[in-house]
This record gives sequence, C-alpha cells and structure tokens, in this order.
Amino acid sequence: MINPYVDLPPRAFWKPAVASRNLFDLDDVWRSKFDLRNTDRIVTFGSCFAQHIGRALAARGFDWFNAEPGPRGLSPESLKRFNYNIFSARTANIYTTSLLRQWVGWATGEVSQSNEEWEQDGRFYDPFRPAIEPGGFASKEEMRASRDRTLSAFKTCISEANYFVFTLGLTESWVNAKTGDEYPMCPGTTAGVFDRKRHRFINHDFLGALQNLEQTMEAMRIINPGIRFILTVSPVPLTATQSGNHIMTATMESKSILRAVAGQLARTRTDTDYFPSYELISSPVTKAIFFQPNQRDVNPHGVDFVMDKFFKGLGQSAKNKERAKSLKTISSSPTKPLVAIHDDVVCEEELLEAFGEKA
Amino acid sequence: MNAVNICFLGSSYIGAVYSAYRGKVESGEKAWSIDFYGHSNGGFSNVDIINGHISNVRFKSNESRPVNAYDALVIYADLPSPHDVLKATASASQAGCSQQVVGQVASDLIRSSNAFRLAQAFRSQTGKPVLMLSGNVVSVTNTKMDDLRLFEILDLFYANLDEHIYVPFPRHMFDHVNRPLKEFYKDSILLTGDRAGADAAGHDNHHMNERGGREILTAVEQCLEQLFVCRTQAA
Repeated sequence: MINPYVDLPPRAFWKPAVASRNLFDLDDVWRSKFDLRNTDRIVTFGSCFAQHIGRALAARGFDWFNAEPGPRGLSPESLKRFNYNIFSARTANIYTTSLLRQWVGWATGEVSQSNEEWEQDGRFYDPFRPAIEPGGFASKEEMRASRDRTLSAFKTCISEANYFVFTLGLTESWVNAKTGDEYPMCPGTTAGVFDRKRHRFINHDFLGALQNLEQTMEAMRIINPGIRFILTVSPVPLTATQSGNHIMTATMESKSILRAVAGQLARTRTDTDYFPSYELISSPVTKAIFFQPNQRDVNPHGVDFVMDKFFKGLGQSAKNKERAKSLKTISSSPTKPLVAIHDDVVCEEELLEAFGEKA
Repeated sequence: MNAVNICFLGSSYIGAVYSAYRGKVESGEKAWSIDFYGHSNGGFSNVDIINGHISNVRFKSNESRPVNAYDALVIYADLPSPHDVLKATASASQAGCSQQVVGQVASDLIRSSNAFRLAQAFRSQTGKPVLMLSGNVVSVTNTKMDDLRLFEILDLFYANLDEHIYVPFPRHMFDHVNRPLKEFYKDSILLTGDRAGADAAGHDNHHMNERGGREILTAVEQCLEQLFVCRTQAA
C-alpha cells in the first residue's frame, strides 16, 4: 500500500534519526534555506546565546560584521568589560522582539529616542543598555552620544548585512508606563530605581511577539530589501520570572512562544530561516548533558554541538574545518570578537539571580 | 653612592646609555655601579626573570647577577612613549569613546608592555624600586604635542605604573611641539654600545647617539640620587 510516509528519508522518523543513534551521531538536523557564503556579511544580535554565534562565525572565517569595534589599544579583557565586539554593534542584549523593534525604530528615526537617563552618584546610566559602561558615563551628554553612535552602527548593520541573525531570548520585559519605552533590564536591578507607578511589567503572547518581529523585519527590509534573517531561540532558561508562574513553567511558556514565532516566520517568509539552537540543547534527546551544573548555562560542549550543526546545515563544515583548527582563539583584531570561543558570555539577565538568593 | 648596584635592562635603546656610561667610567667620573642587560626590540618580549636572574637577553655588560643583588631596576624598553599614548587616546576620543574608555586605552597600552610585566616581577621578587622610561621616543617625529597635553599624558603614566617611578625624557631633547631633536639621534649607537655601521642602514631613525644616551643616563642618575638620598634620610 502506498502512503506519503513511504518515500520519506530516515531523518523524518524518530527511530532511525534519533532512537537508534548515539546523540553525537545526530545528523542532518538542519538544512539552511540559504546558500550562505564566507563572503556574505553577517550580523548577530539578540540574547546571551547570540554571542556564541558571532564568535563561531568569525572563528570559521565567515564575514562577521562588527560596525562598532572597540578602540585600538584596548586589551581583550577591557573590550569585554566595556561590551565591545560582543554583538555587531554595542547594543548589549536584545532579549525580546519588542526591544528589537525599539532599536530598529530608533535607528531608522521612525520613532523618537527616549530622553530618559538614570543618574546615580554623579554617574549616568543608559536605561536601554544599563551595563554597557561599567561605572556609568561621565555625563548625560556622553551617555546620549554613546547611544547615538550605537544606533548609527546598528543602522549600518541593517543596511549592509546580507544576513541578520537574531536570537530570541525572552517574552517578559519591563516598560516605562508613560512612554512605553522598553527596558532590557528591570529598573533597580543593574541600575536605576524601580517605581511601581512608572514601570510596568509585560509578558508578550504569541501574537504580540510575532507582530513585533514581523513588523521589525519589514522595517529593516525598507532599508535593505535584500536582507535575510536567520532566527534562533536561546536555549538558556529564564533567570527569574515576574509572571507568577514557577520559573520552570514560565521558561517553557516563553521559549515555546518564541519557538512558535520563529517557526511561523520561517514557514511563511522566503527571506527567513529558523535554526534549532533551542532544540539541540533543550530537547530530551540530549538529556540535559549540554547544561552546566546549574542547569541553565550552556556548557562549551553544547556550544560546539550547536555550532557544528549550524555549519553542517550550511554545507560549510568541511570547507572551513581546517581554518577553524587554527583559530581556537579568535583574532585580536578589533573587528572580530576578542574573547576565546568558550569564554563566559556577557548576560545581564543573570544579574537577577542575586535577587533570589534570600530564598 | 657606589655601593648601590643598579640593573639597567632594555632593548637596543640602552646601547646609547651604555656607551655614555662606559665613557663616564673610563674618564674617571663618579658613576653608579650599573650592569646593563639588553635584547633588541624584536626579542625583548621574551626577556624574563627566571630563577631570580634576568634571562633571555642577548647582551650583558658584566657577569649576570641575581636580581636581588641589585638595589634598583631601570627599564628602558617597550613601554609606550607619550606620543604613542597620545595617538591611541586621540584615536579613541575621535571614535567617540567615553572618557572612561579613553582612560582605559591608555592604561592597557602602558600596562601591556613587557617592561611593565618585568617591573612587576622584579618588584614582587625583590621589593626594590623600579624606574621606567618610555621606549622608542626618538623615532616619533611626526606627532606634535603641546606641553599641556604632554603633562596630561605624563599624568597617565604616573597613574598607571603603580608604585614604579616614571622617568620622563628631559624636555630639552624635544622641540617646541615635543618632537625629538635630531641632534640626539644622528650617528646612533647599537645595543652593544658600539656605533652603528653602514650595515645598519636606517638605524639612525630609531636610536640615539651617545649624546642622547648621556641625557638619559643623567635623568636616571638624578632620579636615583633623589631616591636613595630620600631612603637614607628616611632610615
């Protein structure tokens, strides 16, 4: 009897593709929609996990584009401390689809920038990048000038990139109740003062997250009609939740929404692909072996596992293998990420952990 | 004064200083007891203190002594020049970096030199003072800097060298915009203290002559005099 399952390849069946295989023999997990070449200009933004993608791309000889490199003379440690060369511009983490929308709106000038600043002990903090400058800026003007430069670099990324790789991280965030401006971190955690009347919690549902991301992508396409998107979902669980749910439940709900949003866009848009970082780390198939003992941070083997599947899916793995061998540590050129591939990632959200220690 | 033993360590720039010192000793002038150790600039990054001795040097003026036999260390090697720091900080400022980042650029530049690493090692192993000079100052002929800016940059050296003592080049070795005067580097001297021959073409553009070496030696000696007189008084 003929049925549509007869001609399917082994990758379509659980037993040959998963159950009968060693985890490390998992193969053909992802096939890129795009023929991504070493000469294509790629930018990376998003949550903490996005940092691994930028580093791996640079290490494999891809053209990871850095529109806001650190100044010459700054040591690798200082570059990391001042958040240079982490993402393709000095945006810091962009956790939500609405925060990405805000960055794009500000960069294109379609939306007016916030005038808000946080002052503490004579130093000024950018509410939208509160940890970007350890110890804060010397003045409000310096803070604003720094953000302007980042917005300009971010716009350059949009206009010059062939591929925009975005790692979706969270659905939960905080906004200014009056202006609607979204903060990457709750005021009062890394900097600023929390005020229940001025600060409002939001938790995006599927439709909200989808609309935000799709409208953002359209806005980017106005600047650069040829831009393509590779979406992925960070496998890193939430550090804390304001949803009222248990942190595990809140994490699964957030990640499920983001995964569905990314999948929906990849299915319906020819300019968008989805890469399964989330599944490769969080699926029961991997038995949580790619997490650190805190069951949250991804260990170096997990990062390697994910990135190996990424490059295999691009068909680039063999071609670039030799090159990667000689690039265990990434070049100290200011246009490349300066930290070793497995070095700690810069993740502001982890700072929330300190507030749960009393428990 | 002669009971104080000085270790003078550096790159090929020390040749001019050694030549001046040798001339001073030979002419019977009063001089400090100084042992010179050096390696050309390309290899200076390998110079180290291993098992209590200066190691991986190409030139020694005397038999090697353990570092704790010295009362002070003078390093004249790869510490950046005020001109280098000015260029790096100006570039960071023009790129729109914050004041904090610009300051960090200067700090990282100064502290990333092998000279600074050796100074830290010597200080931690012996507890003795370290005097530091910037390296290739005489080759910087295209960077102009007014005196106010020079003092600001010198402040960065004082702030970033921890307890080590920075010895600035004498002001009269520079013109009114702080470019080195050619009279101090024409007919320059090699690492070994000998005059560069025709086989070292271009050497003059980067190294001092004996006259320049004498200026540096005098600046160091004046600093040592203050240091050890102060110490004697304190004792």
